[in-house]
Amino acid sequence: MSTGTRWIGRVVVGALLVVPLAVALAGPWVAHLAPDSPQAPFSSSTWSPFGTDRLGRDVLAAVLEGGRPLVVTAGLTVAAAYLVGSVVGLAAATTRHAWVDDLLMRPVDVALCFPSLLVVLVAALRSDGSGVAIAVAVGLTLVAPIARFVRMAARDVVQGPAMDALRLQGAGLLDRYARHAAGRLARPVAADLGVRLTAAIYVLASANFIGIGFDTTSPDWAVSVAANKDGLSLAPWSVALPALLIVALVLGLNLLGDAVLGGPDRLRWTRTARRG
Amino acid sequence: MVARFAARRALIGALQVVVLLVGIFATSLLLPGDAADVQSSDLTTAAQRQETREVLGLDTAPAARFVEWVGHAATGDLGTSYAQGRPVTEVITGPLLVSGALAAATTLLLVPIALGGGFVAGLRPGSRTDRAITTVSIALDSVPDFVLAVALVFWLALSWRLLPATFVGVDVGQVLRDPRFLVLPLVVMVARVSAPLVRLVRAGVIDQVGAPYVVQAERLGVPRWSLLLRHIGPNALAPAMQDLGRTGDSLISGVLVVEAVFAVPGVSTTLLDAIGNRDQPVILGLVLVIGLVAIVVNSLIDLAGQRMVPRRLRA
Amino acid sequence: MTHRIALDRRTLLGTGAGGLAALALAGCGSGTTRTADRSFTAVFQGAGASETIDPQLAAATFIDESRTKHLYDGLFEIDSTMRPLPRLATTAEPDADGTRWRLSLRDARWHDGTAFTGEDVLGTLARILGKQEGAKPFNAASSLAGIDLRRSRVVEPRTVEIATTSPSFELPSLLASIGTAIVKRGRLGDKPVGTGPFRFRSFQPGRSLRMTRYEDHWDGAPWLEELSIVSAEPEARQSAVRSGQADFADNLTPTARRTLDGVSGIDTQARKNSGLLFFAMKTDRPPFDDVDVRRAMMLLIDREELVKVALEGAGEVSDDVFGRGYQYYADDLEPHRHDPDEGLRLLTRAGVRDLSFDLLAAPVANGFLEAATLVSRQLAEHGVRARVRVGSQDTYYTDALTQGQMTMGQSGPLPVPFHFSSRLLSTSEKNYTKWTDPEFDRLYDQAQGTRTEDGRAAVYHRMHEILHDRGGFIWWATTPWNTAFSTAYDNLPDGVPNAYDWARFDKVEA
Repeated sequence: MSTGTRWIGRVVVGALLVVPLAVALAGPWVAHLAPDSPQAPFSSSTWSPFGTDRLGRDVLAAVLEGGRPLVVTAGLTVAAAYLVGSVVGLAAATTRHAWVDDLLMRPVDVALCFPSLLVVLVAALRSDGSGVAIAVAVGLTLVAPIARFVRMAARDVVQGPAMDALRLQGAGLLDRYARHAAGRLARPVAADLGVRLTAAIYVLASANFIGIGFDTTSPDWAVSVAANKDGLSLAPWSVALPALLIVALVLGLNLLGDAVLGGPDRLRWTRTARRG
Repeated sequence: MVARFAARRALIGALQVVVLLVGIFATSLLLPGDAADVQSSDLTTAAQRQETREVLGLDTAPAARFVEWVGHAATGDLGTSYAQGRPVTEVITGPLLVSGALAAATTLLLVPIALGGGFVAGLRPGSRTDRAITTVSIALDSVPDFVLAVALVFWLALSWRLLPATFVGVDVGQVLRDPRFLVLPLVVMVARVSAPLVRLVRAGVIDQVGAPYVVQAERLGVPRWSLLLRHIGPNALAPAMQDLGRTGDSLISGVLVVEAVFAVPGVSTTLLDAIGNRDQPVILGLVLVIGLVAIVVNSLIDLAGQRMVPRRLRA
Repeated sequence: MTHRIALDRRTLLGTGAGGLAALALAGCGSGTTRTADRSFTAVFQGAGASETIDPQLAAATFIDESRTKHLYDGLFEIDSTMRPLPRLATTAEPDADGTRWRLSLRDARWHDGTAFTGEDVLGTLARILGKQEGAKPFNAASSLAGIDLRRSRVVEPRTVEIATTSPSFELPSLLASIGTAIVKRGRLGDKPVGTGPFRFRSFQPGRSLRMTRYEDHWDGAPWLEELSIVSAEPEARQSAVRSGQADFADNLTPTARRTLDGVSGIDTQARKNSGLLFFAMKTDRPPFDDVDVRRAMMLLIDREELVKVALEGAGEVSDDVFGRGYQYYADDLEPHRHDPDEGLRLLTRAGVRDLSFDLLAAPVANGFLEAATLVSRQLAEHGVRARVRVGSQDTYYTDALTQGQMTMGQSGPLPVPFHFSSRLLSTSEKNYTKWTDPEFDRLYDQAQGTRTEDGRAAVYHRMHEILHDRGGFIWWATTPWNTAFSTAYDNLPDGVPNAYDWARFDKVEA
């Protein structure tokens, strides 16, 4: 690969990340320039070429405002779920006692069968539609799959021959786990993070599908995508713009993960083989 | 070894099912109102609501109702639906068949796609093919289901008239006889489920290929196909297998959109409907079946995981 | 659950979930040349396992109503102005004090060939007033509670006398109410047998009811040979009617209707005055036990903006009088309009400061949560704090009877007297505003004992005035009922929901 195409690749990854993040973080300051009074729903707007959404807001203005809640909520939810899930998963993977593994993982199996929408529904109804309660419920539904995933990914690392070799060489605990194991786990975990992030984002959209009460007037991107879908044909931008930003964000994060976790050199099967 | 694992898992599995049922029942009690509230309409009176409660046996303590249901369930009788008065088995059989057929077909398509895509991409990371596969899979993963479903319905069914748009007015038997009905829902489900799997397989492959033991083995002249089949493959698949194991919830919550857009009479709709009706016998019956399937599948996957990555014996 | 009355219990996929189904980049309609055959499929919002075709239970959802009206007939039904219309009864004559009615019955036959008689009428009434048979209560039990069965009798096969415990000059209207269709001898057999224009063929709850033409129907045999009434979610309804899998789709969102409007081969209809939207202030507790606070609320909310934004412009502002376009509507009362200055003056007069209350809402109808949020914002501009609490859509109308200081809701078209009796008497079961007013109760009884329609209209008018001045209901908008259908057919139904000519396909022709 020439340096030229690699450079272009970096720009693309950068743009995919920077655009949605910039819109999310700086958007609210720009959004207040938009006219305040609602216009006709799902039709053209006086402020931007993207038209209006179902509430007669300018689509661009709504998108500028709705990124921050999404990025913050989804980000925090997934981070918290990953923290809890990976502690459980890692503990189960490293233990030498089968009963500890069972104690940790068999409840996880049960949790996996729990309909996530029921959990979110109960949280919403018990809290009068509080956003925090719904986010916590979404996070809870993510813990079980994460724990199971981390355990499986970690098990062949921590119990594999390399770790044994390191131990025999007298490498310290910290060295073994923090450097070796964490390094080996980084790639599958990074791939998985993207999966969970989209899952977290769209649990809310599905929740809206079944009529769970939360603030459907929020300009949050995921809420907009779900709530405006009625007008997909009349005002495609009202769905497409927030959806595109979500896609860009997730795609950017994934590509970034790949880029950070190792340059092409280390990973090239063919090259490794040739070197041999 | 395998027999012991199986016996142990069977015992734990039974316990898990009980815990699951208790959990679901308790959660369903947290929803406001009961079946009698839902069944009462704008025309009926509070006295009628009380009568309904008595007819349905809702006036007895929840714990007693649950124990009674479990007792019957042990003999194969899943009780009677509150909303409908029909036996639960009758209510849930149709949806289970339809969802089962969809899930089976999805898995059949899923495995080759996820494996093929993941390996092709993972063996040449950074190549043009890899980029294409990665980008498509991430994009498919981040496009909302309903946008995908609706776009497919619009172009394939409404504009080009290649396929039926929905299951509206079609019997279950007809759907199973005429596979054209299944095409669109299947495409959405496969796209949905395979995208994350492709990426997990790819990540696993890249990781294994770069692993020192593989490099070493190559130096020693182990043929590449043998490396792929015996070592890289099994190790790389482990994380992806875990994702396959999420049968339980994804069978319920994951296909809701598909069922709604195509009017598929499946499990997801039936369960949500039962939750809406506070119809606990149906909720419990469905969760029992789904839970059993999921726990068996998860155990099989764990077993496969152990076989694929043999490790030292545990205490 | 609901509702012919309170419209729209829940669409599984929520209410905003309307019709994305057509990604029609507007205008590029995928026109099909449709030809009319004698087999017709109509799609309605389904209700899953709780769907029923028992006419005494079938009130919960519109799909139940549409299905049963093809299999069974009532003695009376209501037309789109909510006036009773004779069906299986041909005439009804009250005695002098209105406690005994003589009904002549039509010469009709059941699907099994036997004759329809007065025994069937009394049998059905006995069933409705008798013991509940299953999970669902009989819907007409409370509206027909005034009927005295022991004093009612069959005079001759096609003449019955129905006695009531108190004067009831509105009896035909009561006999037209929901859940009163006549079943043979008051019993349901294994296979449904009715007098309706279609015969039963098969039924799967949550899926479909299939029917075939009944040649001997008293109102003439339908042109259609086969009729299927199928359940589906909003997306699927829209795709089905577009692709020709269905010939008629009921209950579309305004946006879905706009989308289908551009498609060739499909026509749409928006039937006005079909949904009546309200806020209900509970008059038995602070802050709404104060008349001036209630009056202030009627002026502080901006209905124009609510309709424009929360209803996406699909609706008409309403004026706190129930039943525009119906019999007994009071069209001469000054509409309440947005007047914050007067509203604030009333609040000051009432000595109320820092007004705050709970507004219970749920996504039970299109635009509800949006409307709740918007009202809360409108009121906040005037220093009034309405905290929106979101409840469960499944049990909302039950919860709304007891919870919250203000609630909201949607009513279907109903006769004005029925609205009064079911929601506003001190004994009413569905008293969303906790309205108890002895004068109001007395006026209602007076109307029931008034022989002439004009006389009753005057009394009802007085009742409207009371509510308009100081009642707990704010009727803020009416919404249209949207349907789409294939242009290949004629004579499609065009009544408002609950009316006899709504969702009725026996007159459909090519």
